[in-house]
Amino acid sequence: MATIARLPDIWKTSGKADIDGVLAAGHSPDELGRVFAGASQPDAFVNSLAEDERKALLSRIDKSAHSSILKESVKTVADKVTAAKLALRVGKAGDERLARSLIELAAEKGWSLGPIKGALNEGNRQRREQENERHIESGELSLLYDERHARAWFLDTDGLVEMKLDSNGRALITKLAGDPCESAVRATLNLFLQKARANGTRVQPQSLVTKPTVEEKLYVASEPTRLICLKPGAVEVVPNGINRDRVFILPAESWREWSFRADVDPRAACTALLDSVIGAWAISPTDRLFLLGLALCVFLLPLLPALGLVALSGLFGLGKTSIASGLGRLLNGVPVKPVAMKDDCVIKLAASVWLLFIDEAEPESVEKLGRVLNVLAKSGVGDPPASALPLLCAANLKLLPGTAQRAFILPVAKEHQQAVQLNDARYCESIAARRDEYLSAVMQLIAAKVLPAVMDGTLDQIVAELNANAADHPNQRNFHAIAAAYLIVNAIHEVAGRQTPDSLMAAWLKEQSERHLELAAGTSDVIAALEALNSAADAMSPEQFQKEYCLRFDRQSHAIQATAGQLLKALKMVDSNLKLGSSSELITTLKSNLAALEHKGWEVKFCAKKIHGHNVHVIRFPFGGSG
Amino acid sequence: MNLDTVKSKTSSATDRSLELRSRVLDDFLNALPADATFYASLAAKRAIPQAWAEKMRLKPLTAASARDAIAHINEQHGRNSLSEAGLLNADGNIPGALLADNTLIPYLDHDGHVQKIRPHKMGLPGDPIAVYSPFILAETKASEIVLTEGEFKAIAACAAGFPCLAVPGISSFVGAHYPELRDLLKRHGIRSVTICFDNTDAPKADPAYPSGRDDTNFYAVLLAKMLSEDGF
Repeated sequence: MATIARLPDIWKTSGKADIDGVLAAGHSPDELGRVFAGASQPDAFVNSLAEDERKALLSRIDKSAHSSILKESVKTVADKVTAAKLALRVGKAGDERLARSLIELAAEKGWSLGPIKGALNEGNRQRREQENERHIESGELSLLYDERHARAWFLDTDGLVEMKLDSNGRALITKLAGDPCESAVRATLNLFLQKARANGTRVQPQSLVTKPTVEEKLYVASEPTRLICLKPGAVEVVPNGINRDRVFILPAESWREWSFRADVDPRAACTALLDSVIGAWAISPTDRLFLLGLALCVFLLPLLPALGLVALSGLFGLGKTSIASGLGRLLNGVPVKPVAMKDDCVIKLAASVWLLFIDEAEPESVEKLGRVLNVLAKSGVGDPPASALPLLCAANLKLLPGTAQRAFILPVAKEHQQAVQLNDARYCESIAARRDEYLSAVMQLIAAKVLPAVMDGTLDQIVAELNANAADHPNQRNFHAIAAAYLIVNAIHEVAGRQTPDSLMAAWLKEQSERHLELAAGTSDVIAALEALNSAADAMSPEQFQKEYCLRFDRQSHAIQATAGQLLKALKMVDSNLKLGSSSELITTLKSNLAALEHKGWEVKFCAKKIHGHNVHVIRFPFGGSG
Repeated sequence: MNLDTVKSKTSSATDRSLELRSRVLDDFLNALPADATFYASLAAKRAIPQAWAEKMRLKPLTAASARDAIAHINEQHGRNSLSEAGLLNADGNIPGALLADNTLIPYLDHDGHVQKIRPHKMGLPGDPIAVYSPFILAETKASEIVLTEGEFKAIAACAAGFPCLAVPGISSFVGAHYPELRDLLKRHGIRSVTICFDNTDAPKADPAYPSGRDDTNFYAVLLAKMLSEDGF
C-alpha cells in the first residue's frame, strides 16, 4: 500500500521542510531514510495527526474531497454520457465515497441516476471479471441515495415530528416529489412512518401534501396534463399495415393513443387513479409515470398482435426498461435480459416468440442489430425469432422516429407481418396464461401505496380533509380516487373478460367506495334536510315556496339563492330535528359534504355577495338531485 | 489505401514530429552553457551534486543565453521546428518563461531523450504537465520509489540514494492526470510508493483549517489511497 512520509517539524527552516532543503541543511541521507521508513499508510497517517489537523482533514475528505476531484475530472462534462463514463470509473474504483460524491455531483448537475447506475453496474461487471474485490451495486447506490434523503428528513424532524410537519417536512416532501429517484421518496416516507409509529405518534403524512401550497407545487411538478400532450407529428411511426389505427406510441414520460376502446377509456381511469390516490401520497412524478406505464401496458396487451411496434420513451430512470421487462415476463415467462453487446454501443436484446426487446435503442444500434439478424438469418447459424413485436426503449425522443423506422426493417418485422393475426390462438393463450400474474403485479404496486394508508385510517382522513378543502380546490378528488381505483379494476375485468386476479381487492375497493358514499350521505342530517327541501320545491309553485320558506326558487335554473341564515331557517322548517346551531355551522357542514352532494348531482357554490348593504355569504344551490 | 495503412502513416508522422521536437530541444540544451558556479549553487542550495545535475541535464537560463542558443539552433532547424518545439511563440518571439534567470529542467524519457523542458516553477505555453521523470526510473531500476513535489527534490533524493519521482504540484496528478502517473508506475514495475510532500507552515487564513496543512495532507492521503487501490 502507498504510504505517506512527513518530514519532521523540527527540520523546518523558515517554516518549511522539503527534501532538497533538509539535505542541503545538513541532514544526512540516513536520517531521511528513517523518515521514509517510518511512513504510514493513509489511515494511520490521518490518525497520527494532531486533533485539529485530523478533524480538518477528515472533514474535507468526507465533505468535498472526492467531489472536488470528480468536478476536476469532469470539467468538460456536458451530458449524461460523460456522466455515465465517470460513473464507470467510480464503479471500477468501487469507492463508496466516490459513489457518494458522484451522487452529489449528479444532484448538482441535474443528472438522472439512471445512466449512472447503469454505468456502475457495467463497471462492476467488468470489475468482477478482472478482480474479486468489493464493488458497489446500483442498488447500493440507490440505498445511499435514499439514505441521504432519509437522513436529511430525520435531521429535520427527529423528535419534533408533529411540529416539523408543517414547516420543514412539507418543504422536504415537496422537494422529494420532484426527485428523479422515486425510491428515495418511498424510502423516506416509509422510514418516517416507521419512526413516527415507533414513537406512538399518529402519522398523517397526507397532511403534508393536501395543504394548498404543497398541493400546487406537486401538481406543477408532476404536470399531469403533460401526460397526454405529445405533440402531433412529434413521433412518426408507420405501422406495418395490419391495423393502422391501433398503433401505440407509449413513451414513459408522455403518451398518446391513436385509438382505443371507447367504452373502457383506460387513460382516464389510470390518470384519475394516479392523480388522485397516488398523487395525494406525494409519490414522485417518476413513480406515478411508471405506474401509469404499467397500467397502460395491461390495456395494451390484448392489442399487441395488432401493433407494428411499441416504443417506450422518456427520460432516464423513468422505468421504461422495467415496463418492458414486465411485458417480457408476461409473454415469455422470464424477464428479458441482455444477450448481445456490440462495441461501445450497447444493444440489449431479448427475443422470444413474442417480443424483440431493444433497450437503449438508437438508430445506429437498431441498424446494427438488423445487420446482425440478417447475417444470422442468411447464414443459418442463428435462429432469429420468426414472429416478434419490436419493443424499443429509447431515452431520446428526437431520435425515436429514426429509430422506429429502422426497427421496421428488422427481419423479424416482415415475419411478424405475415404470421401474427388478431385472432392468433397461440397469442391469446400466451396472454391469458400470464395475465393474472401481471395484473396482480400492477395491482400490488398500487395496493402497496394505497392500502397502508387505509389500514391506519389515514385514507379516511384524506377524504375528510379533501372534503373540507373541496370548495377551495375544486380540482381535487376524493371519492373519485376510490372510484377510479374501482374503475381501473373493473375495466381490466371487462377487457380480460374474466375474473380479475385480485378480486378481493376489487371487491374491497368497491366496498370502500360505497361505504364512503353511504357514510357521507347517511350521516349528514343536512343532506336529508336538503332533500326534503328539494321535494317541497318540486311539490309547490315558486310563489308558494317563497311564501312558505322565505326562499326564492328559480324554477328555470332550478336553484335557490340564500344566505346561510335563510337556508338554515328553511331547513329547520322541513326537518325539525336538524341539529345545527348557527349558519356558520351550516356552511361548514355543507363544505365537508360537498363531494357527497356532487355525487347526488347537486352543485353547491359559495361566494361573497352584498345583500342590503351587508357582506354576507350567499349560497347558490341549484336543485337537481331528484328534480 | 486501407485503414491500417492510414493509421500506420499517421502514427509514423507523429513519431517523426516527436523525434524532431526532441532533437531541437536536445540541441537547445547543448547550446546553453553551464559553469562551475551553477553546479556549486545547486549542490549548496539543493543538495544536487554536479554528477546528478549533469545526468539530468540541468542548465542555467538567462535571457542572453536563451537568445544565443535559439539563434544558434535556428540556423540548423529553422523557425517552424523551433515553434513546434515551443521555443518560439506563434508570433515568432521567444516565450517569456525562457528569458528569466532560472534553471532549465529537461524532462527526459525512459531512454534519456528530451520530452519537454520546463524553467523551474514555470511552464511553456500549451505544454502539458508531466511526471518527472521516467529517466529516473530507468536509471535507478527501482521497484520502490518516493514521490515528491518538484523536480529538484526528486533529483536530490535520488542523489541521496532514494529513487524519487516528482509531480509539479501536490494536486496535479490526483485528478484527470492520475491515470498517467498510474500507468507510468505500472510500466516500470513499481510496487510501492512513499509520498513525501513538503511540510509547510501555510498562512492560517482559513479558520476551518487551523493547521494550514490541509491541502498537503489532503492530497497526500488522497493520492495514497488512489495508488493503493491500484496496487501500489
